[in-house]
Amino acid sequence: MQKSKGISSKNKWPYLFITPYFLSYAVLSLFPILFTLYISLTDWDLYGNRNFIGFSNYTQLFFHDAFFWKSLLNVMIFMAVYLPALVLMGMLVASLIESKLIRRKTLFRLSVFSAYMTTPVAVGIIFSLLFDWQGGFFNNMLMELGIIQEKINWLGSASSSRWVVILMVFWKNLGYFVMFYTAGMASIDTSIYEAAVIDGASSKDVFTRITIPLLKPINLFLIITSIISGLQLVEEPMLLFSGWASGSSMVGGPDGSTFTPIWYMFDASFNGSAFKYGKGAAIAYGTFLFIALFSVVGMKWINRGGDDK
Amino acid sequence: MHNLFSKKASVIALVLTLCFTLVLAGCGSGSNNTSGDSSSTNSADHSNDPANASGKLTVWGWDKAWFEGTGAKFNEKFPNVKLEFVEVSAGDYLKKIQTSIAAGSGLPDIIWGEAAFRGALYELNVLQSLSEEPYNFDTSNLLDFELPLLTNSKGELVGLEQSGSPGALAYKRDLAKEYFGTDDPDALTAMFPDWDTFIAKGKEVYEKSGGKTFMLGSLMDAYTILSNQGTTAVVDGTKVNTQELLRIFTQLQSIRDNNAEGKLAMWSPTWNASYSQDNVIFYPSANWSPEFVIKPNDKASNGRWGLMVPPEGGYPYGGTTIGIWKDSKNKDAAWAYLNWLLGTDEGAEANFATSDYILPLKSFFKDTSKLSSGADEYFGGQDLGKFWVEKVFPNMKSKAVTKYDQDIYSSSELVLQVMAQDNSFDAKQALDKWEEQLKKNHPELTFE
Repeated sequence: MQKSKGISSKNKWPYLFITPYFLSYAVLSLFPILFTLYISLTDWDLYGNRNFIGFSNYTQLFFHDAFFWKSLLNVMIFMAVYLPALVLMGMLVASLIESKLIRRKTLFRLSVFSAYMTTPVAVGIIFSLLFDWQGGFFNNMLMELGIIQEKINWLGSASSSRWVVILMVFWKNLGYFVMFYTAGMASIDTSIYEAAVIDGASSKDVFTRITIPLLKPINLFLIITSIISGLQLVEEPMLLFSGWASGSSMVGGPDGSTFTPIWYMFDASFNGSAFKYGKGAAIAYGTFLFIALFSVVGMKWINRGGDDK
Repeated sequence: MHNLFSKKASVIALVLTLCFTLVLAGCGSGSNNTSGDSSSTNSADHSNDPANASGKLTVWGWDKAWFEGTGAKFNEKFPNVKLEFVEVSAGDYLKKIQTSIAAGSGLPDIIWGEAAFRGALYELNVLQSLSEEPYNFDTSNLLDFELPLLTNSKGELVGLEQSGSPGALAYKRDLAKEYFGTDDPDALTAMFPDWDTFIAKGKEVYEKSGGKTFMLGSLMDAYTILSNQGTTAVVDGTKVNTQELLRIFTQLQSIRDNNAEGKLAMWSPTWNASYSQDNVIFYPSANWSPEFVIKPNDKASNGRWGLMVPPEGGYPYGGTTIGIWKDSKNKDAAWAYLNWLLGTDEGAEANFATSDYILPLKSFFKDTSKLSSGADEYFGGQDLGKFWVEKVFPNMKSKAVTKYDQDIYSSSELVLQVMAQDNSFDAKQALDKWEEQLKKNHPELTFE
């Protein structure tokens, strides 16, 4: 066989068939990505500025902007709490659903997963109603039960509003994790379990020695994608604090405690009256750098044994 | 070999050409076709008679009932101007405008600017100045408080008001009688000449009710009035008048310290529910509030509500500027529409007939008897039209709008939430936090 010499009349068809995808990729993804990079090097705003300013936006962002670092810190705090919780609870719930104790598995799978299908707007409204200061369901319940004497402003203080956001993300994503784990568990060959049981392994050993190691690829996928989406977190906190009047929003929540990088990008470019597209693009690229960094670190950490991919 | 190469080359050339065509098609539309949504069919008659104006006008807006009602009346007079309405909610409006500008696509011939964002809209340089030739709008016919609301930072008039939006205080008559001994609006206004008296009374009400009843729903309710009263703008150019803001925050702190606010988040479901309860007496109210806020939130009552002039006078609350896109191809028709609808007594009458909107034109105010809306049972027999025209409009003042207004509001909302719950958080700390927030996206501001 002759070695392939690029496009020939014989193999042009595959190229032609994949061309539409790459064309749309070039126009809808590659061009915006590169154009955003260009914008991040300018001081473009809607008030008439559009000058090339080199890396000024980046130096400002990385060395002089406390809001950017705070927003990054916030999403890290969120992830540090909800990711381990999701992994643990996800596995636990999944193994419960998959166990012999539960009969109507589909019903349970669906009910856990339904939170994930709920639109973020609805989730935001549900949680603002639940945790409203004077009329919220949660405060009323605690008062009725006599646990608290005075209503707590959950969305008014920095630490409690962080917990509410964590709870939102956890509640929303638990079903997604459970779904993957149940699929993963179902795909593990039952003969392995049977062999372990015959050898006298306890159910705890089976879980820690067989289930968890064999779920590693699923963990890798879930954790890496969660880091990516976690750093891009924006809808949940934004809707929680979007305010009831149209158009206004308490940007960043109390004391900026739920401010996230992407919210900052939206705020600098579109939301308020700054319209600083250059700055917004730099925030987007800055966040991208961190996403890349943390994804690589996360991947290395999970694969630290180095035995398999 | 040669044949192969040329085939390969032709495929690559085809792909590249397609790529470029698509990319250029994607971003090039704005540069040569700035008319965008507006039709370029305007055959505007260049004779001076505006009644001959013709063309198709595209309008982006949210108040469809008003648009159609007044539009029909306009078309009776100007049958050759076709109006096309594109519904855009007020909350999304500025985003739609800015993405259209950034993408270089066209804007509608007629642009609306709601109170919350009109300051920013004015500075985007998309509105036609009406102070210039050939428009030369006579601003002396506008009520005095209107001019700062319709003027950009260059001092140009960039639009006309859809409806003068006077702000007052709505109150529950039964609670007023219980705590102040009267429910007469004039007597109440006389009882509360300034905010200090109002706050002192708030303390009494709180104590008398055993901590159940408050003067206002939230600090934002108070801020809505305080920040719009007077003529001193918070930002002038890029200078922030921190003293003015400190004055407002100090008053708000006093409201909190004396328990004159109920810690309900303004516009939240609990705040809305309080309209039909007994925990709050007063609410800021504009002339649009009875229809859109008070009645929907308190459907069951009758004769329970009243309107009064607030301590230290009326204030602008809301409002919408309507202007002409400066690159519109249909400016003659657009001007004929705008000027007739919002600049003449005839248009003012159409406005009042359609939606009870009151145009802030001096000529229209000469005879206020036609603006009476009759005794309103729901408001204990008060004539609301007469109330606005006689009690509030005459003593209204306003401050210049700025491009920072929206961010000023959201920064204030943020610090006032902290103030509401943390009794050790004082006005000075509020100001510091507020400055920090505002500087985030506006480093050019200086604080004095």
